[in-house]
Amino acid sequence: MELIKAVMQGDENSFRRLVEKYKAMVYNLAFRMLGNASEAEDLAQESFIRAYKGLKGYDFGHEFRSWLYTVTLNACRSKLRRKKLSFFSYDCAFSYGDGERRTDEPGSGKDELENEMSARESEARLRRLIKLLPLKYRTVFILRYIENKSYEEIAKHAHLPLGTVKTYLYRGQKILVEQFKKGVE
Amino acid sequence: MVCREIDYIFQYIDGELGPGEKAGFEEHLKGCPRCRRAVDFMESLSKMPVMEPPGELTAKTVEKFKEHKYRESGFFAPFVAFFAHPILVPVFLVIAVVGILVLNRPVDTNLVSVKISVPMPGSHARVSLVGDFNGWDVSRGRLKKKGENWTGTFRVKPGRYQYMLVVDGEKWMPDPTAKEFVEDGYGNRNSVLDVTKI
Repeated sequence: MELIKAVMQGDENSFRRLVEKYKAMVYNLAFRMLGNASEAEDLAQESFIRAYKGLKGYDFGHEFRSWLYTVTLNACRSKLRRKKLSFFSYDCAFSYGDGERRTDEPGSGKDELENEMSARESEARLRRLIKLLPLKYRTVFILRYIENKSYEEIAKHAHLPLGTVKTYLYRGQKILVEQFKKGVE
Repeated sequence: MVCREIDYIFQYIDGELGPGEKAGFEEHLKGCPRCRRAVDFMESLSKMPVMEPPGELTAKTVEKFKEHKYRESGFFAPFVAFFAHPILVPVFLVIAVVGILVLNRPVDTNLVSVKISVPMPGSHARVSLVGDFNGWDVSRGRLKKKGENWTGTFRVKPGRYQYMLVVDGEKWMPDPTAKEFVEDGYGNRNSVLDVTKI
């Protein structure tokens, strides 16, 4: 891909175009793993720099998107392991105007309100999930149930054997079912 | 009292229930708020909206990219390096060895970062740079292979240092790209790195 080659040579404009092209994918994955907009923003920047560093000498062609996804996922896991606790921030749950804009912004006021509420609900539930599940299970859980990846894709991006993916999912489900029994919102 | 169906939540969500079981489960959902909430929870996650990244993300990322490139490139010998540290007074670095890139990132004001890149084609398992700044310790001076070059970064106090390269743990040789050499008393030559802070 011409864009990748130009980025490898350090061309700033090409790098900018690369960021523009993939920022939605990278940012959303980071947000879903970290549960917080400002951490997601930092992580997104870091992921692009890691990707740039890792580009040297490799030819990705059409695999670049998938590789960038893995780089982002790894950066999230590194960060979460370093923190060693689940992370969420209260202000994100309640403020709409802090830089998080939804891509679905319909005209009518009632729809807007409903969308806003359901987006906030998703985020609140994401934060609940982050709190409930240990990182290992959480990663595959998010990839499966939020990112909607197949088992094979999860195995590839998370560098896990397929069997382990299924085991982690199963264990994550068990934990959640126990919470559901207690009546989690 | 918890219903039995709640244990099958994920089989329902994953579409693993047969048509009869699925219909039965959905019937149950109508009357069970706990299961209903659980299904809502999962549905809400899977329908999480795609977010627009913050407006300044691209600009900030490009800034980081520029910083990274700047730090990487260093300065090339035989030019005299002129580097103004934002906090400290400007520092002059004299690069005495061709092929060694000098970066000034002082953690404390005395230490200077020296980056070395030695071309060494052929397959070698490991190459180390040892000298009197790291106690001639092979394990402390490991270089990394990057293409045909072996590279590394060392922090040293300004001064004159003797060093050699050790290839595969057994072959000792001076850095062929060094500008200065001294006899080491064993019939070999050491390379000399001169890092002087003016």
